[in-house]
Amino acid sequence: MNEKNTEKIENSIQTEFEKIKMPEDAKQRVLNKLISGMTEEEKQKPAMTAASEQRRKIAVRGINPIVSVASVCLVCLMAWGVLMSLNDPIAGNDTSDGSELAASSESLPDVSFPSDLTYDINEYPIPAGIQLSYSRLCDHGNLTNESIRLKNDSLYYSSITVEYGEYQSDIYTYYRRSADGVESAEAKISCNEEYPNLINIYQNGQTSNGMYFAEQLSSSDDTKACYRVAAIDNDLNVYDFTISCDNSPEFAAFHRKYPSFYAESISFSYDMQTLYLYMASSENTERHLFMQRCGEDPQEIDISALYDTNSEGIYKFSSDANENIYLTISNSRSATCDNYTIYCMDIKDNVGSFEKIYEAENVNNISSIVTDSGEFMFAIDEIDNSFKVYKADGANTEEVYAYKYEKGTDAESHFEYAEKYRFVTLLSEKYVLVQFGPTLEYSERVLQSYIIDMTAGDTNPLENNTAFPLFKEKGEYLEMNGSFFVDEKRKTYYSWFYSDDYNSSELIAIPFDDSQAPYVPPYLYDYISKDTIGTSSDTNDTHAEN
Amino acid sequence: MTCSDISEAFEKYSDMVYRICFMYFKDNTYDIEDAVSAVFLKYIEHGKIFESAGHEKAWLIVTAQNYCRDVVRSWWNKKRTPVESTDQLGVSPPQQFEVSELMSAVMSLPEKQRNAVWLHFCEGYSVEEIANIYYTSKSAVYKWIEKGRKKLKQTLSQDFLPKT
Repeated sequence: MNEKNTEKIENSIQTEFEKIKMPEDAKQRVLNKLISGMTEEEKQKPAMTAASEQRRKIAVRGINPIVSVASVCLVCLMAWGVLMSLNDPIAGNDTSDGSELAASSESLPDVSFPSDLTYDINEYPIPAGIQLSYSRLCDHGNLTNESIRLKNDSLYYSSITVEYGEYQSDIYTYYRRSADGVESAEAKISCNEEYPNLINIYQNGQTSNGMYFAEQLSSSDDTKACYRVAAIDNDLNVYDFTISCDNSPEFAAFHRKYPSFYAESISFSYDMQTLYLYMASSENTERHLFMQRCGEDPQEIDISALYDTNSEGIYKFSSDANENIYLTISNSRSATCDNYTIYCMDIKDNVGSFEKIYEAENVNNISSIVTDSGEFMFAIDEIDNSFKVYKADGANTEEVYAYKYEKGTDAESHFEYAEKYRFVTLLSEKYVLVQFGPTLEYSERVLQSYIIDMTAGDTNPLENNTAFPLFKEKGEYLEMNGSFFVDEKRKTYYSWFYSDDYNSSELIAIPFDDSQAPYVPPYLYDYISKDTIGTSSDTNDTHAEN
Repeated sequence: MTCSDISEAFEKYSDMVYRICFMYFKDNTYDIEDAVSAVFLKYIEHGKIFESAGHEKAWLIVTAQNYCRDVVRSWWNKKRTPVESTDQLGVSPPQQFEVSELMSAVMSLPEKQRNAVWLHFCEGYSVEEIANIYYTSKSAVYKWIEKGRKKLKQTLSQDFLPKT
């Protein structure tokens, strides 16, 4: 593909979309409705139009035949869906006040179903939720979803501010909020005479032990480039790293050959004092991995032998507390499954060679983490309806948990969903998240989420109902937004979840012991928004105004 | 807000809002029309004086996308049974747009990529402006656009691309 192709696509997008115009009759109809003949009451019911009428008819058409269907399973699934829709305030097509809910529910016929086959959400404890608005945590700069973490009773988060002068500087502040109050540390990345151009990319991320910020800069004539990275650990120590054409001949050669390279990912050692920077050429034909220990010159780690030209390249790399680095490489990617190979290298003394520690074919998805104690773990979800979790110590791997999705008597719905779409995410040394969705198409819309305690010794927790379901009140599902924390002492999960409109996140505290109330650290209470961000319209304002 | 204000805004932005809704509901023109109506009703209820035309437009974009997303994600929407023909319901068939290969490819992109690609290439928003609209970083927007572009190039057939 060349630039000409790209340009044609981009120009055509505009031309094609300009053809989409609201039909004049529809315009007139909507405008008339908006500005005339509307009572105040009607204004509260915007969706009662021809489409609502059509929906009402479809609802009757859609549900009546089900009653006559012999399949008990189908009845159960649909009835469950109807039950959910009646409980869901947005099911009535109005998120602001749910005013159409009554109209919608009235149009739905009663559907009876065998109660013993129904998934009854009321059997499970309803978690209490708290909402925490990002903007209230920090009055300036951006606070990204990734950059917040709760660990050891402290909340870690960051903000970014920009200083404009002769050269731009970006200042990153890392906050630690605990019962002792708020402490912070600042790291600054500045353009200068040598590198005046801030390329429009920066990345930030967080590990269990700190946070990092990276920016790509270039010289005014674009002949030189550099990556500047600032890291701040949880003790608020600041470290600076620079990989540039000046301090790395390998980097300079790569830049000469591929001026439009980009950083695919950045990772840090467990102690935050070694940077790993993985870069790819713009066409993905070459990939390079650089490593820089704090205060030393960078060096390249040769990864050319680990992938072929058809592979996706490195999927992820991680570093454990024993200075082993792990590279997960995907190969032969297909629509339905992937093949992955995990390599390990011990870099304690020197950069050596990689050793293959795991090879998996027909994988649905793979998830890996470095635990809070610094161990590398990975979960392999295979298309044969099973997943296994391993712990690695260098080249040695050990299976720590295995689960097979089985069609039990009470779990048709789990299995049916698991057959179609599922996603396994390793959360910690102890917990794994399993999410099911109705189809691949709805991969971002999770129907059911469960947390499994791998140490509980139950190899069939979904069927045995020992897995913890993640549901909000009234059966709304929760879609986790990356971070998950467990406070074993207070028997409470904490996690960030997307709000219904995806524009904000909520911090939810969930008790996992029925006898406990969710524990919310007192210093978080101050920041629980009184005017919470629960509705779409509230968020609209915030975002548009920003 | 007067009728004339509403008419003016509707005339100015209804096609844009319609396009946004079109990307979420595809060929379901009933849902699209409902959504446009709901978005402008929110606009009226909002009743606020915008700082600029740009602010007003951005507000409508975000509101339309939020509204459509809510409807698409609702249980109701996921559970309903499609009908084969609107004739059976006694409703006149609505105007259908021809969806080209390119448009279909754009509409099948993941939501964030699709919105970023559309705002950038169709509405002429810069990466920074899109980042402001979504309250996210420029790098995130840059990545959405890059990934969207890459997927489009992979998806589109050779017939679409110019002969070299």
